[in-house]
Amino acid sequence: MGDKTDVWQGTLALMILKTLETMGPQHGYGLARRIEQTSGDLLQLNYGTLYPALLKLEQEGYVRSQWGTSDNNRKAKFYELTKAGQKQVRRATADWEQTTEILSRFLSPAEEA
Amino acid sequence: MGQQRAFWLRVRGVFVRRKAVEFDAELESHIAMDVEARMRAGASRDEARREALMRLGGAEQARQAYRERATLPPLESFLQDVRFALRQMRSAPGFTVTAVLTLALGIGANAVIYTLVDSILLRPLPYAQQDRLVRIAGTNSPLFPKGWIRELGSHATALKAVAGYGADAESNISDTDAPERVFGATVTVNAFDVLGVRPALGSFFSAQDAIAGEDHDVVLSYGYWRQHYGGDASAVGRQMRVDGVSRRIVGVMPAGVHFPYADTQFVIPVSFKGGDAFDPWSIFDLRGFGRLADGATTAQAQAELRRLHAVLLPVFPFRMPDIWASDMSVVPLLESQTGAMRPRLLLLFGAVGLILLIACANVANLMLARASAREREIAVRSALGASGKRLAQQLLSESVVVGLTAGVVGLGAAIASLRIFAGLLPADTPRIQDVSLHWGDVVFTLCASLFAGLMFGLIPSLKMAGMNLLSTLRMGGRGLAGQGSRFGISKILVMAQIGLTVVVITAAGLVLHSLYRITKVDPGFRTDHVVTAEVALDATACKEKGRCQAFFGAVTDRAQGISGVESVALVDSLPLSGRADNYVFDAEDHPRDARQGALLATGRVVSPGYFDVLSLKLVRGRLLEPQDASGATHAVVVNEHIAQRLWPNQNPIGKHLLDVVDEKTPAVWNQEKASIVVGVVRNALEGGLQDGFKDEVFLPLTTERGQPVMYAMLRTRATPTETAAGLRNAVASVNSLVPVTRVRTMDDLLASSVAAPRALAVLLLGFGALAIVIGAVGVYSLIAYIVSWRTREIGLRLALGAQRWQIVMSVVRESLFLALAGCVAGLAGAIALSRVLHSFLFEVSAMDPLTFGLVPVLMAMVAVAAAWIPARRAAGVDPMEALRAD
Repeated sequence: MGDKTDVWQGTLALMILKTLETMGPQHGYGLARRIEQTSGDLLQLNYGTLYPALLKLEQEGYVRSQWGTSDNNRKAKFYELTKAGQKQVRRATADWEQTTEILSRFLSPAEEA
Repeated sequence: MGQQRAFWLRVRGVFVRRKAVEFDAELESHIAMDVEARMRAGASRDEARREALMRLGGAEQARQAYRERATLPPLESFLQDVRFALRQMRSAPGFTVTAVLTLALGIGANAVIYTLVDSILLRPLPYAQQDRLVRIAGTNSPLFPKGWIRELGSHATALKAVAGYGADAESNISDTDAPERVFGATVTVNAFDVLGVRPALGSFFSAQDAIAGEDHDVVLSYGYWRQHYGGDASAVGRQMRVDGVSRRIVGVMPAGVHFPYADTQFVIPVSFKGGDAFDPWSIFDLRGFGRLADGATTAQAQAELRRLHAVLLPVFPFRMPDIWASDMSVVPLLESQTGAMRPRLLLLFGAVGLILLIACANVANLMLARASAREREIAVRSALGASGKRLAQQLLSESVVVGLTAGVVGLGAAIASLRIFAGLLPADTPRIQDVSLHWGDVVFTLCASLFAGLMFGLIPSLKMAGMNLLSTLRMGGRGLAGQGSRFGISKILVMAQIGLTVVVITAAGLVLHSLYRITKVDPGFRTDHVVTAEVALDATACKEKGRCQAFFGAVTDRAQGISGVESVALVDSLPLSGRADNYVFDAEDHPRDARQGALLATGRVVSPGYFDVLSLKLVRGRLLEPQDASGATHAVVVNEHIAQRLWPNQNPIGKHLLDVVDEKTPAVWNQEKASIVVGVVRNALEGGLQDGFKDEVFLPLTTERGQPVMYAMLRTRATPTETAAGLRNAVASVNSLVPVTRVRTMDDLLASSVAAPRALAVLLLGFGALAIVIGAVGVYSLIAYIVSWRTREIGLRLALGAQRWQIVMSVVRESLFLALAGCVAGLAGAIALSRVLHSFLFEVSAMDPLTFGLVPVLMAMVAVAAAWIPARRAAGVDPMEALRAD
């Protein structure tokens, strides 16, 4: 159980950071919707886990938050990347690409065989 | 970086709850947006809301997850436990006060003694790399001539450098008219370099100062400079007269450096007379110390010095006995300074350590009793889903809170009483002036209380966490019969407590008995109604032939006239003062060749009145008389001890003793120059009450033996103050510039000669009393608890016709049984420790029957006293009420 959550937490953080990088400042609901859309609605995101993940990123100094007004004139908290966050996106992306590349080497020959 | 930042933000989150409150608003806005979007897609409001909440995984769950991330859950639950513990402590003030106070006593005693141990034994000396500094001494030749120090320094490779310092001696200091007596010492010019200290002001000695005639310099202690020159920097360069010699102040030692002695106020250089082959070798007045070379150990240095001994001994310009300095030892300087105080302090430290254990057992028992009373509460909590681990953690935090509270109280008590305890130690305790509380001591105390908390908390919390909650809930409280086995742990704890208490009070009893024996020792002379004082001419005064003798003769005559004075004497070193010169001699019938060392005895230069003032009894021959002062009679008086040793079963009167002043000449027996034994006096313990009889030789105060500093001893009917005033007038009437200082009675000297064993006995007795009080509280609380558990059973017995005294007896018997079992264990422990205790005892066996017999009696009394109130309560039980209850 614990391991799965960890992997999930890790990938969720990267998804959040990447989404913020491409879309700019976003509130929590918008981020969640956007992540679902990007995944081609393959991911069923538990919205409740999004906020602790955002808080963790904020505590680590990768994002900062600020109250603002949404498109529908509703008060919402907006998250945006910090300088450290931009660096982290690059680092985490590279790490992830390397991991998937290594994993695919294990997986592809198995398919051929 | 990021992780650390996150950690501290989460710690902050435990105390600042802003984030969690803010999240409510954020969550609300999230749900609103989701609901809106779903309604736009065609869902009804209720449906949309339900779905939104579902996607969130529940609003409360989301909040919970967020809170856990915003704070640190382990820290939060710990704080919760602490708050709970504080609430519990408030709700049971009786328990809290007993637990905290007994523990605070134990911790406070530990804090004080640890601070003393730390200040006196452990804290480094204020010198650079002080652990590399060593003291060099021979057991039977502690003093070296300056030439020897110089040779050791230039030959030893395991030592970087060797230096020396002279005796702790008072000098007359006069920059004004009336001279002042100030403690100072001589040091070799390299002494401060070896120590690695820098002057606070000016400079230390130069190589030039080692040359006689160019050595008129002096270095002041920081304290003396502040006190006498007001900390004025221009003091350096000024002149000051030390024993009549004008010296230039060249520098000031840094604050905190008391070298070579605690009371040293100034040091002057050791210098060499160029061209005089005998000068470096003739006076044996220096103690050696040095700095180890890099990588060398004390053992290596010692081995090398002993090897060098054979090589260097022929450097003396005269024949030295082979055994002289052949056993030089090298010990760390700090260790050599703390010396005799070390085992005493460690013994006290052991005693307070046991007291802390006793207090811990006490609190463990109180906690156990309370835990049993709270069994139902715990069972309910456990039934509601608290895990055993969580419950144990909570109980443990409770005891840690009790421990730390006691630690803070104990530390406060220790700070308040540190001065008092330091005052109980003998005044000549090394480094006593440096005793103070440091951070390390505070940390030690808090660690000790944390340890105590964990220790006494572990037993109850383990017991409780493993409790069978079902049976507890089913029983609905207490059964009819007292559950005998449930007190098992408590009884063992109380027995252990009594056992430890017995160890402490047995040690205290032994030391007390030993002190009693010491005070009952007959010194062999009368100490009552004798006033002593130091009368000091300048150190150079006796170089004028006859001046010292004439001066002291006049003082003796005038002192006879002081009202109330019965007899007057002069002596160069007071009995029981711990100081006495060696008399080096050859004796008739004891020929020796040059390779052997001469004989040694304690030599006192005395005026004829000495024997009268102290009532020293003559056994044979005659005492010294005024005509012996001329030196023509060659008379000396000896004690029985030396007479018996040198000439057993012979008449010692008329035997000859030959002074061996220095060894320039080989040992040649010269009857013409020898002294003649004219009398034998009774043995007396002038060296100290515990040291046994010594060889003593009493030499008349002749012109050659004239000394600038003498002690006046006056047997008087008047008070010490009146007598001292009379003596001051008498001395002033001979020479108004001669100071009279250090007025003490012989009884004072007697008391301070046993100050160390007395301090040990007083402290151990105090700790013994503390142990008894804490142990008694332990016995009392257990017995009271057992009685309260057995109320129904006792009621039943009474109803069935038991007599009240039988109930009392059964309670007291229980207490006595605990005490007895504890005594057996404790006395066994004391016997096991007898090897340790042996060295602290004087004429008392470490298994002293008196002490070993009285301790169990005392413990039995304590047990009965502690059981008395619960027993009375038990006897007062109303059978009807007890049975009706519940």
